[in-house]
Amino acid sequence: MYQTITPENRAEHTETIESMHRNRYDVCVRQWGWHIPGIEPGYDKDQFDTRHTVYITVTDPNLRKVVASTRLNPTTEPHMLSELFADYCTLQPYPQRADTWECSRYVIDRTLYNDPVKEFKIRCNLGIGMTQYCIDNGITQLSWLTHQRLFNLARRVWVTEPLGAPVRDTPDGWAWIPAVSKINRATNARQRERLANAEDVVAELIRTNSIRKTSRAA
Amino acid sequence: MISKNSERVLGAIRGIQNAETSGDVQRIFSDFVEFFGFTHIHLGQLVNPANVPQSDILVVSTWPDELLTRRSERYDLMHDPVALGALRSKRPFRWQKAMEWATRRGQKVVDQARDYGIKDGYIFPVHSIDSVSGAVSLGGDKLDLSRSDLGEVELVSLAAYAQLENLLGPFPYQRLVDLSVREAEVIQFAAAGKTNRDIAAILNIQPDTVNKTILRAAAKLGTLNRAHTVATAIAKNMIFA
Repeated sequence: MYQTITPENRAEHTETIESMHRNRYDVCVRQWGWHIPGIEPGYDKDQFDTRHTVYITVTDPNLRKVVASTRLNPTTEPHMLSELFADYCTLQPYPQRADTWECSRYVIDRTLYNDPVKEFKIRCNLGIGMTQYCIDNGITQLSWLTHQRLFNLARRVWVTEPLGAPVRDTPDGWAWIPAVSKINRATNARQRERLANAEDVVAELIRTNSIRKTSRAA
Repeated sequence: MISKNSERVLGAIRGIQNAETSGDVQRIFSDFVEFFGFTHIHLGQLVNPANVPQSDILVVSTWPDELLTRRSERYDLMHDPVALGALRSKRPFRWQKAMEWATRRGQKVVDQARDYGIKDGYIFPVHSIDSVSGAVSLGGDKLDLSRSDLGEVELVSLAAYAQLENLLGPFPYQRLVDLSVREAEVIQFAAAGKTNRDIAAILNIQPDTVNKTILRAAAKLGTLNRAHTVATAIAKNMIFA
């Protein structure tokens, strides 16, 4: 089950927030090899973790740590697309509206699980937490800079439109695509249906080679 | 800076996402790519054609029927350097790039398309979380795409692929084949080289039961013999490789 950490309830979740920053470092820096300027070793917290930020986290009760998380920032405040990646938006300007928030650091630690169904359920819970927060707070769109693989995946759940052409400027050669996804109750229902049918959905993804049978990294 | 083609690109993507028939998707997509000089579209899931008939997978093509038939009959996809390159590529590439790793048979496959007037082209791999699930191949005669053109065609290609998969699927090969736990277990040991007698001893069942279990799994998978059953189960990720 996910947790929603808002500026209002942040004080009640200090341990979860600590665990989340450490997990983000593990995934983004150690596993994905990102260079994030200005962060402490072992702890990913940057200028976009602000007083306005909302976090959605998923904690594994057995591991007693955050295993997946994402952060949401209002686009009416400085955010990643406005401050760092505005030039990526070559098809339409990045949205800056009260009903559009930016999703970033969409992180799932895929090295922790051998079971693709369990991993899929964690991903579903994270997505549902994000969508539910949006619906409850009048947010109708999420903007993000997506990895090209996530862009195709996002399409299965949200009506997603690119803000710019794919940009391949990192050494690993993968593309990043700025995009905006529409959030509504139908999205939420689709996510909950996928979670309820997790075994079947994962089986289909495995059959079509969309995901590996074993998720643990070699 | 906003691209001069932005309205054209977004219009095509929105049209494709709202299209209710595959014909509409194909029409919008064809109109869009024609602007960039592409005259032929061939898109589909990249799966082993010796294991899954073309009629069971997503294939949408404007290539000549005769060329498609010839490719299908001779399993040309398995030799096609463009398709093989797409399986391991993170980015679109021009067909001619694939000649670097083409075998002699692969070169003939490419030459065959040229015989039908499809002389040049690009392929756009479609990635899922862990692999390439398919590709969009666009052909033409004299192509001259800038880097930004290529990115924009890639986006519309991805949209067309996703919507066609959505409208035309699920495909027979995607349907679940439910191997029972026992069937998967037996095939797992067969894949490790164990005989029926070995497997029977390991699972504490009769060798005849092992044999019947394998035959039952083969019937579900539509396979012809023990090796084919094991290979298919591995290919479909039903057991550990």
